[in-house]
Amino acid sequence: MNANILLNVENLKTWFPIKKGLLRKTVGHVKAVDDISFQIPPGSTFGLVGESGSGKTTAARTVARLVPATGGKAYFNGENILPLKQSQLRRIRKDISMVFQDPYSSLNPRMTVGSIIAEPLKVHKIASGSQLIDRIATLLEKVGLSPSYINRYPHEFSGGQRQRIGVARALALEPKLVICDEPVSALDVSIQSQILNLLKDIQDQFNLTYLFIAHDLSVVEFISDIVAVMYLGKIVEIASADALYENPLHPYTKLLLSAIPHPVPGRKKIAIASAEPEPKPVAGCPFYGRCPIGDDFCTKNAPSLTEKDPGHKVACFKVS
Amino acid sequence: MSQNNNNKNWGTSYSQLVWQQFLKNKISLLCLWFIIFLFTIAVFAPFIANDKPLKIRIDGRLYFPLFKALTANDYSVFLAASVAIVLVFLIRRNSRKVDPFLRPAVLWKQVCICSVILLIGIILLQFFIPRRLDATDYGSMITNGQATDAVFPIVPYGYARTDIKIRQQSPNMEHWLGTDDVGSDVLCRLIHGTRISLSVGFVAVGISSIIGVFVGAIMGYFGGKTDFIGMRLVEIMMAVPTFFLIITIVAFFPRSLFNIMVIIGITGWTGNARFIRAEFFKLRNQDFVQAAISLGLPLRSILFRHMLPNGIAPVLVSITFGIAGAIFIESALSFLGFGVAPPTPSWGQMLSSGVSTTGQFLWWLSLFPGMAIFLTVTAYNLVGEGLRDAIDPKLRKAV
Repeated sequence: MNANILLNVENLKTWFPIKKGLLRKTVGHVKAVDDISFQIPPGSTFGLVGESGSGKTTAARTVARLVPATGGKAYFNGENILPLKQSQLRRIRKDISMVFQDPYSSLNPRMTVGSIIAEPLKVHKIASGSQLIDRIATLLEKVGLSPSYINRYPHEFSGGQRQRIGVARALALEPKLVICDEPVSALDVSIQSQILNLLKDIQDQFNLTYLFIAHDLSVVEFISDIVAVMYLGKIVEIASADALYENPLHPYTKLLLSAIPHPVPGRKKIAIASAEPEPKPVAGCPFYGRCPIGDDFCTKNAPSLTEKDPGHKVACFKVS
Repeated sequence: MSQNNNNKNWGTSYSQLVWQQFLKNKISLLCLWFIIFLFTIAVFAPFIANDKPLKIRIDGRLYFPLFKALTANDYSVFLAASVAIVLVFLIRRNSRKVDPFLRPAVLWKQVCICSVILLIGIILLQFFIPRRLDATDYGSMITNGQATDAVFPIVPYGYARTDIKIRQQSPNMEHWLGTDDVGSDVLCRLIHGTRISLSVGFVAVGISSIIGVFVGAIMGYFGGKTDFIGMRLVEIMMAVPTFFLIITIVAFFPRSLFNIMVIIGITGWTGNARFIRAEFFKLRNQDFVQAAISLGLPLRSILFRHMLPNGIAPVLVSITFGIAGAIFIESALSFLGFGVAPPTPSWGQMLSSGVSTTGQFLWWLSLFPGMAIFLTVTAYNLVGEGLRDAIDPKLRKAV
């Protein structure tokens, strides 16, 4: 196992069964995450982008062991965490924490800010007594909140402040990997930049590794070192952030990048063949229905992720 | 940090918001006061209606027969009432003096201490207060001139005292609400019946909501097969007419108050289980529950600290309606003759004695217990309605 990889995901699959009838027979699967692999080196930020329903959140929740995986492996620090039992998971839970998308639903409305942050500290026996309050105060200060907020309830805060509380909770256990599940997409643009800067600052301070999910490409460009583009449960392109943004190879990536609003007038957008993703499982390339350059060959064979440039992998036959 | 400085930084908790909203509803508040009034009557029933005088001088010596005649149960009721009052005061004090951050832990400690005191106290009382039977007729002693200086309670009759000479009297100056078939005072029996009705409501609903919350929480959290089996069990329970089931069970067990409370409790949990299950299904996928899971918190904490406080609202409302329902069921059982055995008074049982053995309709025997049942059930329902309005999702959206 490569010591230079914190999280190594191999052929991860998360399928949700579709059950029908009186006996609730499984008649099919929704392949939310279908055979994806990626590696995250420690201290880096791995961006996962894709449109709604492409499976990025499911992938993240599977890695966080919130959703059971159907197949594949996920090595965290060299240990496969997918088959671990609940009792063994405790250890891993301490090292992987999560920041959620909606700051309005990710904080328990009945608990004070202090108790929200204190509970994991108590459960994992990191701090107790007066030490506990000191720790919470430092955490709140780290994320740019006043320590006096310890006695407030979440409904007394704005969205940005709530997201800061969410970040503080994620940092409480001093995790190695933080999974950020669209942490800024529910916020105003001005608040977005504050939270992104905060995430960057604390990454430097604590030497954190991020698995960063977003559908906003400019956000991902700002924060990520490596970017993976997902489409219908599959990764279609992986590259370093610079390479991906300068030289997108997959037609879907190109399409996404052209959709970024740009201050330069006269830039042409790539025409989209069909706005709806193909719902039926097709034998060939999943992107075929919307692909501007696809041909007959693409309908029959599914492309696999192949390395075109060093560190730049694409799943497309048309890229040479 | 000084006290004032601290208070400024304290937030308003959800329960405080709900309480503030509840206070705005005057009718519900009035009903709450009425229920508190009923509880006061129930607690002090032996002091309000009793044939033993508070004090009496017999042959120059001062006696306190009423206090001597109090049973272990009476003392247990007093203890429970004082513990309840202390708890209410502690909660009020906590909201002013204790940091919201530390409040749950402090409250938990207080509740634990109070319940331990209550439990030990009741056990000790049952052991150490002997059963005394005081059959002295103090009333006749006064008329004979044997005793003087007697101070009787407001209603100077015992609920178990029978006197064939004064049977079936309509309301008059001596017996304000009349007397029944065997010559017992109706007002006295009504006052003592308050205890039975209120405790049936409370204990039965307590049992049913604990079972319901527990089963519902497990079903809602785990889903899948657990939920499937649990829901079929609930459906089987619901398919059987509850009242019929209760009558059947009552037929097999002795007619004691405790049995009736337990039977009403274990047949009435299905509604609560369904409420909690539905809420937990909804909460299960909420981000804060997912966050709690991802932080590796124990299941107990996830279920009862994170999910339950957010899903308890419909159950709280159904508890108040459930208490009203339990009082009603107990009255109906007593009316049919399956309730508590006489001479223990119960409102339903008194109601049924309205039609006497001779076929006469004695209106005062039906009207007053009927009014009592009606008012109590209405009060509980209105409090429940007020609570439901206070927990309204509109408010939740506003916060």
